[in-house]
Amino acid sequence: MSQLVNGHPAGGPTTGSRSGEVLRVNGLTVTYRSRGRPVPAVRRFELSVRPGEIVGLVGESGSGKSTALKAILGLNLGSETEVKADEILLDGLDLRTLSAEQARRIRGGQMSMIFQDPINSFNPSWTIGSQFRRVLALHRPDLSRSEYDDEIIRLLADVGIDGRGKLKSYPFQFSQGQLQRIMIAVACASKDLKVLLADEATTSLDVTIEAQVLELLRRLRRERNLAMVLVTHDLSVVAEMCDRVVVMYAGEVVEVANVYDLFERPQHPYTQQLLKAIPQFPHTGGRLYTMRGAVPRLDQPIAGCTFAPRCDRRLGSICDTVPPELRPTANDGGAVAACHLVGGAEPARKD
Amino acid sequence: MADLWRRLTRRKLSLFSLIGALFFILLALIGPFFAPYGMADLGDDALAPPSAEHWMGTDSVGRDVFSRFLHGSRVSILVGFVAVGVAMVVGTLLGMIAGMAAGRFRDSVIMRFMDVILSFPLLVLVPVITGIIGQRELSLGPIPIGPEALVAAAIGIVLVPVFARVARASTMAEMREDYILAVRSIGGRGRDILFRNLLPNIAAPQVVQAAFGLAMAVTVESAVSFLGLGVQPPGASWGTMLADARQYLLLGAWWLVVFPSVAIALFVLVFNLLGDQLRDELDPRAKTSDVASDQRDGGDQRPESAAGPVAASVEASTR
Repeated sequence: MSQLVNGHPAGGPTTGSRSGEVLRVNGLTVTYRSRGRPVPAVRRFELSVRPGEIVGLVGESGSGKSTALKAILGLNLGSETEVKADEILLDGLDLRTLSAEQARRIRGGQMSMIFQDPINSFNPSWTIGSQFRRVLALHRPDLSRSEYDDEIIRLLADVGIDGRGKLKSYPFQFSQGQLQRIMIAVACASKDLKVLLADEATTSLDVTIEAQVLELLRRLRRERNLAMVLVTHDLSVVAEMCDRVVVMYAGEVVEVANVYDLFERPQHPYTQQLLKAIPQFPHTGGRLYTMRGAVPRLDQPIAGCTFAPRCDRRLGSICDTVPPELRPTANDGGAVAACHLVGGAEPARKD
Repeated sequence: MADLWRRLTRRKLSLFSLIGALFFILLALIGPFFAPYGMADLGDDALAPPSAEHWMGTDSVGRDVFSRFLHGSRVSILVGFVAVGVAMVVGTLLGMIAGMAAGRFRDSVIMRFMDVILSFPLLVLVPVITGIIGQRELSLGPIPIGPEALVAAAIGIVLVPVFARVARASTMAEMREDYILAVRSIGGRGRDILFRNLLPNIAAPQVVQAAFGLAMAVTVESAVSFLGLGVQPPGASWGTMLADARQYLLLGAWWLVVFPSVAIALFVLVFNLLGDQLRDELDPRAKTSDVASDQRDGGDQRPESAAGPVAASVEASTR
């Protein structure tokens, strides 16, 4: 089966290695069903991550960041949720063609996820050691049962936790910061891990612990050449950690750019307004900028640009009627933005 | 676990129910060894009232009621435990499978089937099941299946939905927890989720349900046997003993009725109490009352204030 997948023209390993991407997602659409109505939580999502690269995924709450991440990992999002994609390539392997069993092996094997709330991400009824051993049993066939505990101690030491004598402790006996480190250790237990997805992994931590965890992630990237996708709504984390940034709004990618370009020359009005909303320090005494309105409801189709009602640079009727496509921007490195302002007068020619 | 034991033994009511439960379990396990006569030994002295020789008197054909009671208790209690055991294993498993696939086809099939069972009154369905399989000689390979096993199985089937529904509800709640998502994200198998992650976290309500189920199973067994559709003579159970006693009650043979009746009532009381106490201790939502009960227990040591005794009794009665 895996040979067949590798031989697939679109999913061949060459596709992945040629572009140097370890993860590539195209045309990902996730549709929930709410009271019989389809709610497209994620639309035409695209993402590409190179080995050793940290990509930030930012956007307001409800913009579909976490949903996109879970869909990429192939997590079941519920019986009524439909996930469609043109391609989800992990190191050249198209994850959509895998059987359930193969997809399960990928999770935690080549691609792992860490979550926002470490205390709830561990089963309260089992000790840390016992939960960790299960993960090793799943992803470390190279180890024998008797070697598990030594390996756990080693992996925990890697994330700065002295695990000796603590394997018999229950999750509630650790602090949030410790648990987040343990969760990272668990997620990185597999030897052929390529991509680490972090779903607001530092949101629930205080700033000093957050800095430590971010430093840990940076070190992991350096030492193991891990690619990471960091979902966050903290732009300072993005500025500090990421190489590239994907900005999402209402389930769609609105801008992709290098982190410097994004902060220096944001192209999409949403990105511009988002950056404007960051409180400046030292504070000038003026009123803070607030974006008016809220993320639109997605259970009804939106005719034009989803951001038009909140946009400070609205062009006119075109924004309400024609949905903008992702087009290359003035920024280099494959930067794109979905706005009629981007790409000059082209939108006028379109209809 | 030790903690649970400590908390259970601290309260008088739960201590009573624990001792009662232990008593009934011992009665079933070793009771018959203490029987002074054979279960079906006929004596000369029919319908004799309780005496030193026959502690619970004799029945219409002179059999020692005490000996029959000891044997019958084993049957009744064992049928209860086997039925609840069957129902708990099958029901929990079905409920968890349904709860994991909540809203999907598998869930609907399982739960509609449970609804079908539930739509019949307990006391109708059990005789129907035993009646269909019938009063024939059955055997599972070399092991003969007596009417007792048949009744246990029938009651077990009838109790399955009780456990399945509770298991499904708690499974659905647990499935929304982050750690299930985490297990999935790390590549956990379906059975990892089912047995390692869900089972320990939904076990508490199942245990509570088991205590109530035991009381229910024993009642149903007695009723069915009383109707002559359960345990068959010369076998004894609390239900058949009552059935035998029925026609002699008017002749003044009260001892035939009193002992099995008291046993049934006490059994139901003890296990319902135990279920209540377990629920109080195991239900996570009841955890908050821990603080209050700790304070109260501490309060017993304190010298009582002016309103002390009254306040204490009011507090006790509101429990």
